Amino acid sequence: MSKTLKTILQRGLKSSSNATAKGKRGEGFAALVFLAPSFAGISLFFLAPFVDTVRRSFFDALGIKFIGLDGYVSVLKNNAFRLAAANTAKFVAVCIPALLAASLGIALLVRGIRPWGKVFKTSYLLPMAVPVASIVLLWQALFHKHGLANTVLARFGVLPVDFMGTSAAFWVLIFTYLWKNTGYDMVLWLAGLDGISQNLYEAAKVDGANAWQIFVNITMPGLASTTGLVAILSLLNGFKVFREAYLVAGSYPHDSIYLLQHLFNNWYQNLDISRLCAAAAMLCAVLLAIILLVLRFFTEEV
Amino acid sequence: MAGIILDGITKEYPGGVLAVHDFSLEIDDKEFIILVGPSGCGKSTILRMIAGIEEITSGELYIDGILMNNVEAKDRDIAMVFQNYALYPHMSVYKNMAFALKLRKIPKNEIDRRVRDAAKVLDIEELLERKPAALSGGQRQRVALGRAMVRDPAVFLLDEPLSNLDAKLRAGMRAELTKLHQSLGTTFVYVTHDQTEAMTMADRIVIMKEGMIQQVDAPQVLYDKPCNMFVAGFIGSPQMNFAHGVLSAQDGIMQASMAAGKLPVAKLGIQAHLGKEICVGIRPEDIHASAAFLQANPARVFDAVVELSEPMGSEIFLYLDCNGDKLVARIPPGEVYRIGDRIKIGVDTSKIHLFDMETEIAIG
Repeated sequence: MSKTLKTILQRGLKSSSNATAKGKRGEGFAALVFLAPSFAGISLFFLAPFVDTVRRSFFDALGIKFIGLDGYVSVLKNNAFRLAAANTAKFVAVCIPALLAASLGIALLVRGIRPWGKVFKTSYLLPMAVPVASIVLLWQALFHKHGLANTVLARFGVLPVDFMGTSAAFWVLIFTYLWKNTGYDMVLWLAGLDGISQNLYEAAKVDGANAWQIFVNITMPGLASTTGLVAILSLLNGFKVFREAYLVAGSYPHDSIYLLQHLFNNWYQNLDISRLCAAAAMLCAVLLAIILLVLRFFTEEV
Repeated sequence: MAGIILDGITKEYPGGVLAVHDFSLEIDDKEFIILVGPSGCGKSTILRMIAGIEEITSGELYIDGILMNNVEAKDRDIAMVFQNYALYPHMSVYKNMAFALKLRKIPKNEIDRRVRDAAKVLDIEELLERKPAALSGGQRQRVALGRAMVRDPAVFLLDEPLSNLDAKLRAGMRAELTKLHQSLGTTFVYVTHDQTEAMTMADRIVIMKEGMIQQVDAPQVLYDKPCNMFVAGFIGSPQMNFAHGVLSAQDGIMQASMAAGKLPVAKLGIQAHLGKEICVGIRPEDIHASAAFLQANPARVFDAVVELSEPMGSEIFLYLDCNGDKLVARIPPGEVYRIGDRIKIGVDTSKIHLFDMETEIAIG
């Protein structure tokens, strides 16, 4: 995906730099015309507000008085921000590798059992189709102090766990995220796997590779660019888990699942605009850095 | 260095599609054998079963005297060149060639020696650090060959390795493959749909149709003595002419009566077909238009109308209509023929082929 983007950009650059070739310039102009409508939309609804957010991060809440980096300093000193940032980082660090591994494993299994693959594919995709609000009801029923999970645990003589009131909440959130996103990532992996020629597997077999060696030498390198794509999408989806956290536990959940979005939401409700903007700008910078790193690492030219 | 025995091999795909039916063949050690046939005749399936990447439904496969049915591909000591080369895209040429050796835990300096030796033979030494995407079709083909060569395998399997190359490169590679086979001294099993490749390189050719062997013989034998109409039509270009006829006897001489006229046929063992419908096969080069031939063989002369003349430079292909029988003649250049010209042609009856109309099997 990024590769195509890169080539498109390169072509665009080439055609705009190559001013002597009349046809090329016409092509570049046509490209701009076609891009204009979506670019206008994105500018209006994303870029312009974002630029304003960055501007506001240097001003006071009313957006009049310049306060420089005060907003940033105050955010970094804020205990709630530190807790939320640490929780979010921990959440991402745990759930993304787990999600990538789980979804890839399932994708390989689904491919392995061809005649039944479709049934499994659909069943793993189903969680995506369920609206968050109705899932939340289910989580509440499952993980309530007197909920289903504890009933089952009690059967085995385990003392009831206060899932949402203790640090177990973090793991409930991880589980929720995995449950919801595994199917989607599995489909992406399956598409990536389809991109690897069957002949390569056969050639490796004839060359003497066993199943593990084939996975390491053929499957993994063949999935490099898919890995980058899945990692980035999973990262971005990771921020959506707030919906579940918020709906299950409200604005002030257990400390272990107090995420950046909780904080942002609270600051927003308190109209703490300059800190909100400063934090948003920082988050965006960090995400951009991560995405660029992942792209650079996984989209090696073949 | 191994012979291969295929004994009653059958391949049935799920859904009852019979790709290969009761295929039995003994391939000698160091033989260059070519499986040829139209697409879908099961030739590639045979190759893939020998390689171990396709399961054998029934029958037995032996390589070097050892039953291979349940031996995994990686343990069969065979190397295969794929039609699209199947080079590992993320590995350099060097790593592509070294991969199999690395898996076998061969010492690094030995791997290096073998890869560089093969690269030298194939003239790809400067390409070793490149990735496959940066290579031309011909270069990729050489790398695929090199990847198989470094293995020093018991059997070399090649699945239409030249079909992705342009015509000129293909002709060059044919000669190189023959040389390679001689220098390696390894059994080659080669699949192609191109009869020229089969004729020029093979020790023996296996002609297949619909999963069954039609004929196994040396190239010249196949050309001179095709066992049925399929083989006769498949080998040779332009292909053999076929004309319907009836076998009759006049004054003790057997003759084939066709729309074009009558031809005396002096073949043994055709009495049983007297009075029956037959098919007469005439190779284009056995039709002559020279005055000398016509004078010497007045009994074998037909009237013909030129429908098309294709001058090839070294020869002319004449497309003729002989009273309804369509014949192609391959004659030496010299004369100019125009569409609609009425000419006389003679047939060298010592070289004609007769086939049973019903079974399409050669007679006599």
